[in-house]
Amino acid sequence: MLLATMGLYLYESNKIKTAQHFYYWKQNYNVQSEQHPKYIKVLDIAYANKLIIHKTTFSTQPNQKIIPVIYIDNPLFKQHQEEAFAQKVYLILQEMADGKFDFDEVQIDCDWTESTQKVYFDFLKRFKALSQKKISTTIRLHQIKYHKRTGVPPVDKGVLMYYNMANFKDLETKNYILDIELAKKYHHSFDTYPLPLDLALPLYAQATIIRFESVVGIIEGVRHKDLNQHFKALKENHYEVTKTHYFKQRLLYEGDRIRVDEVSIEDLQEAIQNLKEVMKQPQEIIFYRWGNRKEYSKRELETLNHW
Amino acid sequence: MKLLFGLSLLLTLSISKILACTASYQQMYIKDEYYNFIDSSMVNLNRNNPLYKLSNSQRVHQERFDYFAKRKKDANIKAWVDYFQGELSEEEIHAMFYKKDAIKEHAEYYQNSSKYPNFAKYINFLDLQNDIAQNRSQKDSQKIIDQGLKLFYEEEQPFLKERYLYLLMRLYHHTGQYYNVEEIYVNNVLTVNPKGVVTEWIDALRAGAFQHRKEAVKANQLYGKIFQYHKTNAYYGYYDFKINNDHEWNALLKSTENNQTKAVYHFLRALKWEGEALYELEAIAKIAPESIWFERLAYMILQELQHKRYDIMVHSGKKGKDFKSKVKNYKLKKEYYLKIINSVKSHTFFTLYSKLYLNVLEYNSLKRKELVQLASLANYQQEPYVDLLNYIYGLHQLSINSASEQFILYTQLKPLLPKFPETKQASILRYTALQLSTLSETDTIQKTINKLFAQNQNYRRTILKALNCANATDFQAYIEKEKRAFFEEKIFKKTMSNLRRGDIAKILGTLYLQENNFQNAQLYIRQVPKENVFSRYNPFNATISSNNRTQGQTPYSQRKFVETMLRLESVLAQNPHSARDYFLYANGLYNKSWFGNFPMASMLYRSPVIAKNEYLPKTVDLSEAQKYYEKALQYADDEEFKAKIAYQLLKIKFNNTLSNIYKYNEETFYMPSFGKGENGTQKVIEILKNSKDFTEAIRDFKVIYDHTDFAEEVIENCITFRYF
Repeated sequence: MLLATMGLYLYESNKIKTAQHFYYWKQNYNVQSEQHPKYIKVLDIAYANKLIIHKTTFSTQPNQKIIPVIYIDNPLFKQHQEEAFAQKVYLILQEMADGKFDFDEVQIDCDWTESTQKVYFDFLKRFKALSQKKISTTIRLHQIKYHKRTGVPPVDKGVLMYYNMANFKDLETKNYILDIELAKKYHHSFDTYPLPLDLALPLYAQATIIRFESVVGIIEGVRHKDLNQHFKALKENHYEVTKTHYFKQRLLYEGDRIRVDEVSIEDLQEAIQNLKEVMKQPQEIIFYRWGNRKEYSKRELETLNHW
Repeated sequence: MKLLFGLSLLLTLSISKILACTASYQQMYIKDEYYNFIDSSMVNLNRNNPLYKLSNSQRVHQERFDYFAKRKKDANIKAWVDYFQGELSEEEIHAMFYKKDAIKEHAEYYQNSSKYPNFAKYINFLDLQNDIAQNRSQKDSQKIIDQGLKLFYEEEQPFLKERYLYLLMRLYHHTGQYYNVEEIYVNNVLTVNPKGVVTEWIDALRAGAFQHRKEAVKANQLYGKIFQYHKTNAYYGYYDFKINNDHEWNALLKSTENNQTKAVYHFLRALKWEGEALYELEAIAKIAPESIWFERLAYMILQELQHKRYDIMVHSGKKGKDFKSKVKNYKLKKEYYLKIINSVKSHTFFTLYSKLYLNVLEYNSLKRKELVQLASLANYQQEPYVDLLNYIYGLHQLSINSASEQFILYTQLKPLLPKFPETKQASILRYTALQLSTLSETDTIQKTINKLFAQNQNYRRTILKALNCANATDFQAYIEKEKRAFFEEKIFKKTMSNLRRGDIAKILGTLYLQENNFQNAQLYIRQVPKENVFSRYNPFNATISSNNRTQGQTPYSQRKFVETMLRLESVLAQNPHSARDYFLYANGLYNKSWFGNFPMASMLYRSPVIAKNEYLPKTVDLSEAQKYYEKALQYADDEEFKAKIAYQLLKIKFNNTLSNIYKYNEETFYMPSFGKGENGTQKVIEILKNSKDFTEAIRDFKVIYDHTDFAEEVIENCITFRYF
């Protein structure tokens, strides 16, 4: 009995502990609680004839070291290929951080493609050399399955974004945020993927608006329980708007359809079960995103650590 | 004042993480050309006004800002020129207010001006408050406001007093004192010149303040006014009109009894990126169908439908889900639009025109009765559009054999064109070209050229590509046609203008070469002033490799190739039993095909793969080469030579078996070839093994020529033999 207990103890103490963190993704950082998120989006960069840079403003100051996240719109790398871009981004980051936050690692979020791979990877190399920091990047499922084609970013670590995997515009999409069956089709090549991977999971919901048989937009943060009497249930997750009205400040017209994409704790548990078969235990699970953590209990979220 | 915020929100939405992963929603950019037979003047709009485009593209937003920034600057400069009674020129005023650091420099310059003491105080205050106005600082803001108030109350010149009022309202705005914005305005309303330019900026500040004070009705009423009447900042009405909930919307509608005003609110709601113009049009149709806002919104929707229709036309033939969804979306929207238009009791010129125009876009026939009705509604400016639809009506009645009808129609076209601006003239010609290209089912030269013209794709490379497998005689007839009708002449000239000197000879020479008419080919290739078609390989060689490409051979030009083929023909005519000459001749035929080492001898463009979507039968036809190899085999008496000829025949069987891509499944678009991937070696071997003809031929070759050195070399070096 003692041996068995000791064995169990040794097993437990040898197990990797997975820490849980959150992404903070708003344009204005304002966290009043004692606990603060570790991953904060600080820059949102796109290109439309010129660089468009949105900096997050800090109304409050993070109370710990953070990992600033820089989102870069992929088409930017098709049009903007200056070598100085990495330096520019790093200088902006340094300027933003001055007196506001400390960091040892930077995360870059970009859904690169084969056509932008070279420019993006060059940017990462330059950024790493300039910053002398640890660099992580977000990785989409298809970038793991087809990594021989799409390449592996020259960084220290990857974060597998396990969400937004379906076609946003496709009316037959079951759940844009998390489609377990669809995700499984991409569970390949994890064994040969050379980067250590953390895992990002979705903790958010949204409604996709369908009008004249076409997706015309989304409303963030919509869950089934939010729907009022002006929605008539159709098939699973689908509703018809029965009266023109404003819903969460968004104008919906009679005849519009919405698809509610929501992720339950059971969905996430199933996703983890499936992932366990192909992926090594991550050091961190990062939830997207901070504002929605109250929709799930702490205990529920901790069940996701059982790798 | 919320414009910047609104814009940043828009950008944030368009580049937000959620959308960025797989898709982003953006309304289509509206093309101004192509077959565009609608014009903003039809609904009494200035053609340059960028507000009336249903688009959320960055470019269109920028156009709007630039347009109004210029108007604002021009009006302001004019006002200052008047103030200085012409003593300062427009350029000097511009230099004073619109150049970098100019205000500061001029404030110093005028500091002690005895000529303009009031202006000196004003420009110094303008400089003092500039950091707050530009959101650079809030330092000493209240002190600055107090100083401004003092200057405002002391100022006696109405022009400067009104500007102090504006500056103070703006300072209140930037320091978050939204109640003071309205209060100072109400108390000094008589200071404002209702005909001046500053009143427009003041309205925008008031609307912004109301919005910050959550007084949505007042804010939106003002934005409605700004959108309708302001010349220098109407875009604030477009961007900052904002309804957050049903209560605000219902209260806004209840705030007026005037249906025209209600129509403006629906119109503004339609312009929001989340709004649906069709539903708002339907609402306007119920309350104010005679309103200009009904027509203007209908005009904007028609632009969008037109764009969707073009998008479908451009991608026609696609089978994917996205395409089907686009087609469905267009159809549903078009039907909804027509339902609204038909619900209106009496047509205006534009509503009827739009209804007919949707038929034009879809190449459907127009109704004579409706054209007569349209003519009765048209004013002088609109008459050309009636003439245009009458022309299109005639165009749709044409049949392929009616040369005389076609001639009459072309005659109508000549006086019609000058009634339209150049872009519309191009539209009319392209529309005509496409309609005519639908008359004939077979791909005639005229049809091919018309189609290229209609798609605005008639530049050199596409012309050469489109003519790649044309009939040489037909093309010659097309070129040499003596009399062309007006329209034909236009298209012909346009096409010719995109070709280079010598291209016609090159095309004809190559096409005749493709048809093995070497006499005619030589005639035209000799006319090419500077020959540029060469092979790095000898086209009369045959090697083990399928394409006969072996380095270190004598380069051949197209002209030399034809001459050699003609010489071989002559030799064979004199000596019809010469196995060697038949072999050389067959090699030439093989090598000028897609598979050989000199395909460009008989092609104007060569795709590196044989693809279903551009399958050119004449360039893969090896039957003539086969015929001459068989003759060579018949007269050859040397076993090694026979083996070599038989191997070339085996290569032909190999190519014929693989290039018959239509027999493959739907997903196979390209001819398989040795190599990796789905259409690689595995597939090649699978197809060959399934071909009885090929498997028998390769077996016979091995059996019959096993004893020769050549067969031994082939079996060792040819990859196919490893699998058989």
